[in-house]
Amino acid sequence: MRRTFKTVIVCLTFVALGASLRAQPLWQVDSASITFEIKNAGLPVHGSFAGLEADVRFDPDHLERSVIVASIDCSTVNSGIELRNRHLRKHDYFDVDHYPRIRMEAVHMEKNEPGKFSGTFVLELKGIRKEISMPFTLSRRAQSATLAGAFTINRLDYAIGEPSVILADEVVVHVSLEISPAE
Amino acid sequence: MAELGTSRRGCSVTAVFAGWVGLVAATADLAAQAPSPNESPIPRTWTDEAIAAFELPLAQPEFSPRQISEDYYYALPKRMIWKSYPIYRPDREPDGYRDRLAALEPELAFDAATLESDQDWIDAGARVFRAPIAYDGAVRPQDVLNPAWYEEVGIDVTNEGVLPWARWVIREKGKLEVGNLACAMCHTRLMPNGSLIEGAQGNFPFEQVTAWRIRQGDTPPFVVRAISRTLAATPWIDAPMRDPAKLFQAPLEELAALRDAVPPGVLIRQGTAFNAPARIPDLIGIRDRKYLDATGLEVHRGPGDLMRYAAINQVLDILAHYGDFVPATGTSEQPPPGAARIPGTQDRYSDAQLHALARFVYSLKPPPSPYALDAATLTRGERAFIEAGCVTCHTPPLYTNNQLTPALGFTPPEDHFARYDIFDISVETDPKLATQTRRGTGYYKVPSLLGLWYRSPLLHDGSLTTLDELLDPKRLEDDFVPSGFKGAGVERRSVPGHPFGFELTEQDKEALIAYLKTL
Repeated sequence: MRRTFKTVIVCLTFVALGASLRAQPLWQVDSASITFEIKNAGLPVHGSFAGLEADVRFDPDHLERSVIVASIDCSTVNSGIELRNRHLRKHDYFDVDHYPRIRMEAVHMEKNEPGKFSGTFVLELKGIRKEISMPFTLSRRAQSATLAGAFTINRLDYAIGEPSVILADEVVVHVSLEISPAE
Repeated sequence: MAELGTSRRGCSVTAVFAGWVGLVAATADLAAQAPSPNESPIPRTWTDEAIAAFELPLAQPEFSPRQISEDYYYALPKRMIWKSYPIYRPDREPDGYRDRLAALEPELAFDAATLESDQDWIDAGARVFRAPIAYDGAVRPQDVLNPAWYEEVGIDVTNEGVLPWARWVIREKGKLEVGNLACAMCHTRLMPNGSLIEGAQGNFPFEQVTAWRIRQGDTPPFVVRAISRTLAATPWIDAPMRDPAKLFQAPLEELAALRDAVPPGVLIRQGTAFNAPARIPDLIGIRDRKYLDATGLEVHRGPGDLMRYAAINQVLDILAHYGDFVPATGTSEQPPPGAARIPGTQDRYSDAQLHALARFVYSLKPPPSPYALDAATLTRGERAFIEAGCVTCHTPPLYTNNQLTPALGFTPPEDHFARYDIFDISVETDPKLATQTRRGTGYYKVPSLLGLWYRSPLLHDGSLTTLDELLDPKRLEDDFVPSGFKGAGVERRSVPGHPFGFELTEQDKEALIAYLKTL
């Protein structure tokens, strides 16, 4: 919806720099929540994506070697109104025929305190690659963990719709991955 | 909750919504789009260049109309605007009324040389708006003087006993004629309380009157059939009631039944179809509309375009070539100027008349809504309006984004995106009017929601009459009984598309409807 709204994105790829990827713990993603929020006519609209594929090799003590790669299926965009979803899939928004997946890739990560990190990522959306910053957390449990973060983008930076008096430019994206050690 | 703001229509709004609406209203391009009502000098209505740029191509562009030429248009004589007088229902007519009219001299009611102030032009435009282009046609003296005409067709009158949609005209002393096909005939709404809203979606039962006439048997069958062909023939479309020959051979009772099925406020206007009529548009607020007609057939850039609209649609478009088909003749032949023997094709409005008409139409003000809201309902209704997605297309303050949406099955050609303002998703309503008629551009215009409280039926073909129906998902089912246009012989059918608001709670629906009735 040209003047409407939409949004965005996500996927995570925390790509570790460094040598031996094999040395990093391999995690499998058990479930994922990728949601977005954008204001439409002054009120927030919530939506989501699905179809996550991820490669997570993450060691908080060796971030330089860690890798997390993820992408989502653009066609799963769900804004709560099916006809609006269909519009979001078209060329003026996500153009899913030409850009079926959204990717994100970490290029640098730092630990701020135990379980809390900041990272620089490359977000590739609709063929446009830009760096973004995202703080994220790792909450560990006995057999699993949660990786969660949020970031804000300007949808116009990625040619998602046009300038609009109805739809805000800023989109807040929340990412949450439930992960467990891969067998 | 206290009322925190007031929109331009006077309804209170929440802080969030008010702030946002204010932002929209302040947007410069909206103001820039608003045509000036006092364009000067008077635009030349019909130039070949202006007419060519005025209409969108049809969904099948090779059949897009080629309107008559500038030379043809100006070869037609100027239309006379005669002073006219109210028609009373017989039982309400003052004693000796028509005898007094018969003693009057004919009097012209439009002289551009006498018009000076804006109000002069607006008042003169009102007279053009009410002036007929045909006499003793769809409505004749023997009809309006016949009590059975009112009773059997179901024709109401004002509190004063006046028939609002036609007037007596004196073109020759001693002879009273019924003026027909004025703009006012379709754009005047008689309200339940007996008051009138001029410029609104009208509710004269035009099609029922026509059906009644056909069944009276006093209209030559040739005329009934020729009119049917002229109105609806679309020879390049393989669909019922489009073939000129079949339309010309249709049994009269079938034609009457087809007419009867079209409720007041909806019309089988020339260029539509018997199974795809058009809702009569509300002219109040049209100054802010970017496209005209339900199918966005014409662009509206200022008074000149509104003048062109009136000139073409009253009814010179039947002289156009659609491919090699001319509706007025049912052949490929375009008759010489004035030779068509069809009212409306033998003369033309003057440019000054049309300019006055445009000024009058631009001056129309919406009547205040009688519906009031408490603050809680207002807040709830506004929130539902946003959350159901209404706001995206029906954007305040105009309650339309002024865009075109493709009809179901129509894919906009790539060059259209640069030429027109397209909201590229279909709401999947019935596509016939947009894809299978002479007005079919492949698009539907996003209509404004202003004035919903006094308008009905709704949707482009008038299938529904209430907002409750619109928000009821049962209307998608085949056994639904629409309260508006159904089609001849049809009792039940689905009313597809525009699937918004179905998930709202009953309380939210009520609040949304209450809110919409204040616009």
